[in-house]
Amino acid sequence: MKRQVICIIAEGSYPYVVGGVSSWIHQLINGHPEKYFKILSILPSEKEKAKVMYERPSNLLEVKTIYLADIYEHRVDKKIFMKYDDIEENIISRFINMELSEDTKKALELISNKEKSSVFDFTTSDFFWDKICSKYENEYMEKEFNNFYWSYKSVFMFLMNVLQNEIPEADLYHSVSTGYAGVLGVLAKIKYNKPYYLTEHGVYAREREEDIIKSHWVGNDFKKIWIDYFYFLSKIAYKYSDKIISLFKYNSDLQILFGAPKEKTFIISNGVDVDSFSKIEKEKTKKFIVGSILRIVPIKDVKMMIKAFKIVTNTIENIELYLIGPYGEDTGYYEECKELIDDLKLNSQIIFTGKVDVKDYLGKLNIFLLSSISEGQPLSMLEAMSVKIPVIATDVGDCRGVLTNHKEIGCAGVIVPPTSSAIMAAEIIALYKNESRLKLLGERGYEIVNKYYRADQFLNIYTKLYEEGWS
Amino acid sequence: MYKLTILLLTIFEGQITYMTFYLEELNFLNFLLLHSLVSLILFFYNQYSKRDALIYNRLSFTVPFVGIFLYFLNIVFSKEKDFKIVDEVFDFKKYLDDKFFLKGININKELKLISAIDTMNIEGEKEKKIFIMEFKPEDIKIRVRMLKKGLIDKDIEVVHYSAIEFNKLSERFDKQLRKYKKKYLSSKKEKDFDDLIIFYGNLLKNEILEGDILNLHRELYIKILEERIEEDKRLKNYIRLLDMYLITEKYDLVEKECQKLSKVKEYNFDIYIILTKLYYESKNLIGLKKMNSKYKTEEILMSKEVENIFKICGIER
Repeated sequence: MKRQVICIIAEGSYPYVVGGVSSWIHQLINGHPEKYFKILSILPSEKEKAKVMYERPSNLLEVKTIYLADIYEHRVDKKIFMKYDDIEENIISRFINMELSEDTKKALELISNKEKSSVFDFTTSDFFWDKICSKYENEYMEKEFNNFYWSYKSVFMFLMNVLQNEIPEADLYHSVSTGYAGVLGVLAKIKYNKPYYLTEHGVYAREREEDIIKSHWVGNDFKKIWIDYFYFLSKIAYKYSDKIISLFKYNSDLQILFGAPKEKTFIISNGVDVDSFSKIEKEKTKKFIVGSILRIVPIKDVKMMIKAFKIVTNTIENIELYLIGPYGEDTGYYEECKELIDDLKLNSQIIFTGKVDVKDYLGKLNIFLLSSISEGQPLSMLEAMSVKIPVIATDVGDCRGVLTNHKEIGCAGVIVPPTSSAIMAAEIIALYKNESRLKLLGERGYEIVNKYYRADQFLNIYTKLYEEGWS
Repeated sequence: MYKLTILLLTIFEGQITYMTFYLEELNFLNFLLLHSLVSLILFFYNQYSKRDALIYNRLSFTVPFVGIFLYFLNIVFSKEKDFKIVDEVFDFKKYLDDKFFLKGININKELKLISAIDTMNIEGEKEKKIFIMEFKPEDIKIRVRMLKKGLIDKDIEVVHYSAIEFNKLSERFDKQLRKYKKKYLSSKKEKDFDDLIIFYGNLLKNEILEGDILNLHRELYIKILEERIEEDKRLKNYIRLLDMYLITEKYDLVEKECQKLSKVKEYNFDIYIILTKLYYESKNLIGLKKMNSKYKTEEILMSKEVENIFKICGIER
């Protein structure tokens, strides 16, 4: 019997980067042993020498990697001239202007066709030059042309480079974000006439907007180009995908706000293996242990957690902080955290475990901490809740929703404002002093996860959706 | 029975007086009504018990009048108090400089702050988001205060953008501080030390750090200065150190260091400022008077700051 083949398109995540999205993909593949999977992974550059971070599931047939910034055709000796006719040029013109229209599909087909034009030919053509100049004259006349030119050119160089890659054949395409992954999903749908699903853990366009605003590599005058561009890519994915899935209502509303047709949107929450996690026994120790499962990267605001912990040590003597997760992704930030720990003289009380099996550590924790400044619906928090660990989390993503919105069960943790170490510290101390509340929150957490966030629930919904897309 | 009634009425009277003059919870009308109620009880009780109506009813009529008298007395005295406050507030002269501009107050900054507070209080999520991203006043403290306000906003989007910006800001300062520290530790040069200590000083003032973490950084700042002073005895290092001792309420250390430093006469202009601040902060009026006479006898020029401290404490030159 033929087994359905699903191609997951991931940007900056599986199987090379450990994190919530990657764990989710890994869980999805392992949870569907009756299906085959292929991975189309988009990474910034081959130079970064990314390593595979997950054990390969037996039903994973292929991992194909596309490098965004490695544009090999950039050699003049390879130059061949563009072969678009007038109608095609008009279609591409509208695409370059970031206009979403009925022709967008055709524009993607044309741009992705290597026979029509290479990236180099296209971005050095008179046609492209004229389009850029007209855009500049209409919208950016007062700004510096040189920077404008390079910003605009880069935008289309990267996109065209991604689109001109070969996409593995499959029965269904499923991207885990919009952006480049989303556009590849749309292209695959056009090329192979197969369904395309989109699941967003955060909201891609908004996350990129934040990155661009924070970034130094793009000048303030031209940030708008990149922001508009990422919103444009999202709109393409929303327009052509067959199903648009988000993890919680707030993000679903944002997707609709950014152009997703309401009738295509669904909410499917994350899920964890509650039965397996609930078997973890709590270790009895005289120490009071707080901790988190996380990657040591800036978005997790680990420094805030360390500062909060320092404040707590003034009140609770016998306390330790476990930072459970890999620290190799951003070594600079890891070193900064270590320096902070040195400054605060907390070396003996803070433990970096590195990449480990979280099940070996969850039993130790009395309180689970989450200090992120941006999140979707954190799997790590759900895992902690299934071990009956009370949670103190920052007010990001769906943390408030998971912890406090299930009124019939009650609140399972404490929400604190992001970046507020003093408040997090005060809440740790308050929970430490109230053992019965600590227990109650843990029990409620388990009840919430067991009722709403079970892995089998989420996998069953995807199974149905995949079946629907195959029949 | 009669004595018990009088006792209860007296307690009730006491309560009314306490609530009116001390807690200021009763207005004039309520005060008057309650007093009249006491008088009426007294009046009817006397009628009922057939006591000497002339004597006892006189008492019942007197009670409200005494009350009204007390009330007006309070109004007169509190008005007097208010006048003093109003005088203080409207005494503009001391806030004006030679050109009749307000001194010590940056109008532009204050207006920016008012408008920022308005935006964060009133505007919708979209406006707040744009404001959070684009409001970048020179004074970091204002930005920090606005972002902290955003962090506890009801709208999760406002919280989100405030968190992103606050984190960005604190990371920027953190990185810069590390850079300065590394540079100074490797070179030990005076310029690198000054860069570090000026930057660190500003960081401690701009409200990014708070609570115990702020205290901890203050201690680290003190440690850096103390170590430096062992070899680099410039007065400005001492001043920075003494200022931080004052902030961290290490008053004995301030006094001890100042005594050592005041042996060098040319230091006294700065050292006396610190000492005046010390006595002011530690509420030591005798010390302040002693400083005032030192200023007089040693004929040292008084800074505006010191002048104001003496003025506030009622010590005239």
